[in-house]
Amino acid sequence: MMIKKPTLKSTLIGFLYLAPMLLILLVFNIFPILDSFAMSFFTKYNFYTNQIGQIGLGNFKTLFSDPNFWLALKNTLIFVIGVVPISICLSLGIALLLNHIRFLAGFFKTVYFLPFVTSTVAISLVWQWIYNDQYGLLNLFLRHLGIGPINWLNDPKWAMPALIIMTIWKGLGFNIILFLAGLSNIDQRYERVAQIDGANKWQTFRYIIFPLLSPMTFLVTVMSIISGFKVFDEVFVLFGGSPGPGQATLTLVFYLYQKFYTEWQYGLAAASGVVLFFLILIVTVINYLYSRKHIYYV
Amino acid sequence: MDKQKISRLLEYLILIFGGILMLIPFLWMLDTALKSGSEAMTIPPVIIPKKLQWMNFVLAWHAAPFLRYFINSVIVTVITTCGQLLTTILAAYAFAKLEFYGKKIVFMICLTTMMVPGEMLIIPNFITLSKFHMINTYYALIIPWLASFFAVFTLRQTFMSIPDEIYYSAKIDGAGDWYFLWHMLVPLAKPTIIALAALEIINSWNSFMWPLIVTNSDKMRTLPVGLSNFTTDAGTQFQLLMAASTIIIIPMLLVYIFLQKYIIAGVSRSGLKG
Amino acid sequence: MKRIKLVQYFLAVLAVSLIVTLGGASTNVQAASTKKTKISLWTGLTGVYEKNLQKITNGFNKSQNKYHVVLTSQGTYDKMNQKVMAAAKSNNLPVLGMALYTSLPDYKHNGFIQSLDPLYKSMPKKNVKDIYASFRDGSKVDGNYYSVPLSKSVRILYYNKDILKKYNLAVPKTWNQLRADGQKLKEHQIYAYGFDQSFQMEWEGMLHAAGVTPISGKKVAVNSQPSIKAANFVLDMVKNGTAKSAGSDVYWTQSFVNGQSAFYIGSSAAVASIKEAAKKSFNWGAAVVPSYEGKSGTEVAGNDLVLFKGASKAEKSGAYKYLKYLLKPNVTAKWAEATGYLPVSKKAVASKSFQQFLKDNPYDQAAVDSLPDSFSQKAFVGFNQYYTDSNTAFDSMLNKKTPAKKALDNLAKQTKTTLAGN
Repeated sequence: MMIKKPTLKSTLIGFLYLAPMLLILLVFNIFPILDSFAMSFFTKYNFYTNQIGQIGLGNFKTLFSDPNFWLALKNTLIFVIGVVPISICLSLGIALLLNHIRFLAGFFKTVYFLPFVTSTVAISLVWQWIYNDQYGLLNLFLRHLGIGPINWLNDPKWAMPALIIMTIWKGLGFNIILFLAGLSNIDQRYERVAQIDGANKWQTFRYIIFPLLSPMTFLVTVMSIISGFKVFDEVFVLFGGSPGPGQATLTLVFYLYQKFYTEWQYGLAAASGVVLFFLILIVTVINYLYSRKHIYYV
Repeated sequence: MDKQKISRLLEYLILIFGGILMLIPFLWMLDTALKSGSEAMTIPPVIIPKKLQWMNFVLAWHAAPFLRYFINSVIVTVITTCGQLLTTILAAYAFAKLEFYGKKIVFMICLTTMMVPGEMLIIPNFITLSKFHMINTYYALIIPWLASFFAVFTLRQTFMSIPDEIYYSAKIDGAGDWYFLWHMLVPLAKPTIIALAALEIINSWNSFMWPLIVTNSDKMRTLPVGLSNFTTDAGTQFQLLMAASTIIIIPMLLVYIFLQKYIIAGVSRSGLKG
Repeated sequence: MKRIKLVQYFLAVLAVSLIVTLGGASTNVQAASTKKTKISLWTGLTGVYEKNLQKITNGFNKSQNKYHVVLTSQGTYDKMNQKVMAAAKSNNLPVLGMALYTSLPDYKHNGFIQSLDPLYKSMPKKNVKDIYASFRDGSKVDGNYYSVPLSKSVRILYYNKDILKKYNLAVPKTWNQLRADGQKLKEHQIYAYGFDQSFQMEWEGMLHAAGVTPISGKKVAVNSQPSIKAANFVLDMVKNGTAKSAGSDVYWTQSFVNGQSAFYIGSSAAVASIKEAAKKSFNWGAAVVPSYEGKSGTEVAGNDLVLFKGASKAEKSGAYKYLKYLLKPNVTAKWAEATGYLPVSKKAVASKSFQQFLKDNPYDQAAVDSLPDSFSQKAFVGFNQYYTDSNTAFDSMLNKKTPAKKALDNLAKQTKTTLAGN
């Protein structure tokens, strides 16, 4: 760091730089968070008149005794574990390849970015066709491999894998663009020096590129985990507004959405939001602590 | 030499295979956009429509005031993206290169804003904006999105990986923080900034729920809202929905193709160091 | 220097955009300045439905010199619901809005809506009685009117004429016949009965025929003997491969037009989408739903218009005028002809233009024929919760093979908790 010790003056300058962002975040993010934190403790609460009957842990008690909440928690964890590692490995690999090639590089970059550009609604309808059990493209392909028709969207066993595949597909472009930006921020001379020193490709990647890319990898990981925990739109459109067959894709945010918008159980919805919040927070802090030892800033 | 050629070939094969997987759903979308209503519903699906229904694009375009939506989308996207980049660059600089009291705490608090699902924010933010009498104005569509901590976080990571020595050499030349940020750091971090711009443009362009909630008239609505015209409670007009979705994507593709060459401009080429 | 240019360019773009925004925002304020009292109406209608209501509303607006109804589509129903919630919380509700009739008790309970008794009282009694009884039932909460029926549909039976002809079958009059047809069609790998994502509405129809009200007052009968029996009737057909759910397709429409089933019980509003999806060579028809245990029942679905709280006196009287206009036989008939929804009154159905319409569009006859046996679902405070719970129950019967008794017992338990909590 450039200025080793904070002073009053440097603090003033620091906050001046932060002010525009902080103002917006305070009003449109932090205030609503505090608001829903408070709401999670209101029981016998009238959302519309703001009359609070009681303050207590009732909502959390109800929440923790609801089997659907635990199902949602389980499904969300499976989803995150299913999506994040594959998505990061794939996008890192593709980003490296895209960064490496010259011929048609622009074309390929556009192709891989395409899914991210497309609206979720339209593309989810397309995936419904791909996943169709009788005539879907995926089953057509699998039949050639001798794997017999899977009812992707209506079999509770396969609904989650179907959701995971589509999410990975849709999210790749986002991660790739971040990795590409990260790669292009790396001074190419490091790479050349390594190659002159006789390092092979793997060694160059392992000891030069990967450490230099670690700040971006950390960021992509954190982002993927957070957005994985928050998955909702994909479920909603892929399964026609339902939480999947046999609630196989009932995720935490879907649960929250149901409680809030369909069932009007505001306190309970807020409580599930708070639980989700702390869950993500804990995972992110673990991630952060781990990364502090492993991230390499120049 | 041969070994290198083979690995090149392999690289392209992998990219082509993956590229096909990326393209298939998209091609299907285009294909459906050119089908007739009954062809779009036929089982097993018709791959090549008997007659290409270019009219679908015209029908879709006229199903809603798309021209007005288009203008609104452009306005909202441009301002949101520029404004967000500005707040992002300033904040990322503070987090990456300045030392001040409370930095870690503020950073953590800001980080928590990413941990709340958007579904939780809709109603409180609607209420806030209605208190400011901003419902059904561009302000409501723009202001809440003028800051994104994800963008700040990303840019901070990039700023942090730019060596401090540059700062010292700038100091010797008599440059202050402000000058250093805009004339050295920002150009160096251009790939990331452009990438963030691309992501925000797309986010803003595709945003659906928020514009629908905070606007009350067609005058203020944006393109994705128009997509809901093809879904009713009795079914979906697939061919028109796909045609409209295709129309909406095209400007984004053009923007991306234009921007992507900046995303690859590397550090060593900017010739600042050494 | 290149870099300075980038920054300047960037700032210039920002400045220009800000000016554009301010300009745009101020034009918006001007738009609202008309002398007539503005009656805002939020709908959950999209596409052609929205356009047709706009047409009808234009007709009203032209006839008025004091009021002007402004329609806004809020997307599909679930989006509209979110918006109403946000608007209710911040006192931004419009004058009129669309609502599922099953959410009226919850709307009333939370103070969203005003009683429409004055409207109905100001109408001649015979005009009120002319509205179909099932629609009127749906408009009432605890005996008071809270809505005016608008986009109404019932469940009807669609049949594939080609399949009937090929296998020498008739349109089933009873559920038992439908089941028997299933056995005949099974060997040809055609389902007899296709339904939407869930068969809940058909189940409710069967219960109505059997004289059971799932929930009335604090009495919960979702797990009564007849309820379980009716659920098992359909579940057994699913099990032996003669009935099928549309699953994540939500509607069975696509499978029906592709000849996967001989019969489809769905919304009468689906006539339009079947027409659009069907190939020219596809022969089909529509009839009333089969009877169950000797009696018939077909459930009414759809949206009503409600008067939100906070409307001024002028807005209220304008809203009354508009609602009365919509209830006029010729207007409701016109609306029905354009959309495929049902006319709300007997006079409208009897009107010349609608009878001519039925002659030209025989598919729509079935829905009209169903009206005498139609019924509205009994809603209650907390219906929103029941809605999720019952969806889950039917989903688990269909997709997790949960026995009907177990799923419905659980639903009964949840419903009792819901009723006790409100």
